[in-house]
Amino acid sequence: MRTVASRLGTGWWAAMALATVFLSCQTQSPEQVLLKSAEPVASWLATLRMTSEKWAANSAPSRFVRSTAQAADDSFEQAERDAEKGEASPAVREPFHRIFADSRSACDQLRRAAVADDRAAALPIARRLAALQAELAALRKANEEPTS
Amino acid sequence: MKKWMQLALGVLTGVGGFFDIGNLATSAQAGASFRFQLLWSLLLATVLVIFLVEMSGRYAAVSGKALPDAIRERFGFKFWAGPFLILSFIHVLVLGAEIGGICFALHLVTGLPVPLLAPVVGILVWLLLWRTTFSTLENSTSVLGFLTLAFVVAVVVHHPPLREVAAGMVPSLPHHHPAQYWYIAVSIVGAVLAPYLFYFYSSGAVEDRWDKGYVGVNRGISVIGMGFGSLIAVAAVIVAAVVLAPRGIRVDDYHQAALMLTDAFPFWGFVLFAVAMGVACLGAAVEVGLSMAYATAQTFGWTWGEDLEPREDARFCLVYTAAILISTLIILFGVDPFKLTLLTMVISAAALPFVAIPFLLLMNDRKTLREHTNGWISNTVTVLVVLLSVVLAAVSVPLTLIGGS
Repeated sequence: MRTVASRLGTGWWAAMALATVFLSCQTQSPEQVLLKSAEPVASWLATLRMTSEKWAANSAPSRFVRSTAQAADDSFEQAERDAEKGEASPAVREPFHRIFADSRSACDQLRRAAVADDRAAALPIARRLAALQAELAALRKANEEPTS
Repeated sequence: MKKWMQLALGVLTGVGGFFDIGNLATSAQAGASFRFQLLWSLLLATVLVIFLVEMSGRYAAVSGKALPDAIRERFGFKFWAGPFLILSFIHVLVLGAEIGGICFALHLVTGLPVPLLAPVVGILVWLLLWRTTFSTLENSTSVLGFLTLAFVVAVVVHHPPLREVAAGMVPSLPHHHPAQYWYIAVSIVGAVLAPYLFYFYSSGAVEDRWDKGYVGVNRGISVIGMGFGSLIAVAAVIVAAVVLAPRGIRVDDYHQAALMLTDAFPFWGFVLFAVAMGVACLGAAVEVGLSMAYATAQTFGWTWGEDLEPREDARFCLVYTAAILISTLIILFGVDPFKLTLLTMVISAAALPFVAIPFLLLMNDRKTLREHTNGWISNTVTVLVVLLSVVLAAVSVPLTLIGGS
């Protein structure tokens, strides 16, 4: 029994080592890194849009909108920082950086509306978020095409 | 009549015990990112968990011993000490994830920060274990667990495309993000085949004084209870697939899953999600805390039993108290409950060989089980679990590195 267990252990560590070597050999271009950092932003924009719409329809409380906006802002801030520090060419990087910054601004607008319990502001903010979603999707598609 | 009552209660326990924070997180993530495509992994894990739960109950009913007790007795303390330490570590992480889930559910209702709620939740879980008996805990958390059926009702309201749902039950290769696909598949298996479930179930059978006459009841509980529990997890995948995926929402945080019931229940959906999450996690937290204490007491040969007064099994009570304290501190110090849950599920999957291999050996012990030893079907499934567990153990950590959020 112990021999079987130790053999399993050896196999496991061998697989781990192989996988680690494989992973360390994988490199991503700066543009791919930028595109990857845009994925959570797209997801959070969709989340904020749904949150705004549900808030407007009285299906979500203001306190939830506030905490969701806070969580989204953390992700936007991270993406913005990554875009600033990234090595992608400025022509590729700048449009992404601008959308990330605009996303933070829309997120802050939603948070402030939630703090003020101003549900009337929810739908216009949802429209702004939808426009940003569409813009980011188009930008991602444009930058993905040459690699695919 | 008594056995029918036991069966009904056992099914309730199965439903209540199956669906916990791991199932909620992985189901929401699977549905949001891959729609119905990962349903097969949930079904596979369900078949395996039915067999393993049935075996752990059968062993307890026939031998009068729970799993950790039997493993220590059969293979010796030295053999069991290593796996026991690893599984104890996983127990603490799972308990932390469950406590984090309760805190997040309360955060949804109150708006208070998650870390701030951790001490309150820790004390609540501890008080439940300290003050109540096994049957009270088992029955109350199981009945409350039925609130998670809200996900099943939501599926009925949404009318999902049945052909696509059925297609998801058949394994297929991912169309995008392969690393994330396999990472979630592994997490789903880790969430369903949680080690605590088997230790809790077999120890519960001993607490309930099962004997050979309960072998049939045990089979019914395993199949119906786990089957219904799985139905709720499948429903959560479908709801996420129908509500979150079309909007482009990927679940990397519980905030992103919190509105998934609001399309089906516009007014109550938000509260229902919070209550279902809180109740599912509370039931699981109690079970994990007890499972940790059962496993430790049985490993060291201490007196144990939830029905005993704390002064009669002080070391048993000390173990769950310490486990709750450490798990609470994890959340209090600001660890993200969602990330903790996913990481824990993958580690659970990696530790599966420690759970599966003893099953294969114990369930073929003719001296103890006599005519109740495994048949060829159960043995085939157990071998499959062992092989799968070894593969999962090998791939889980690399997948976390490339596919984890």
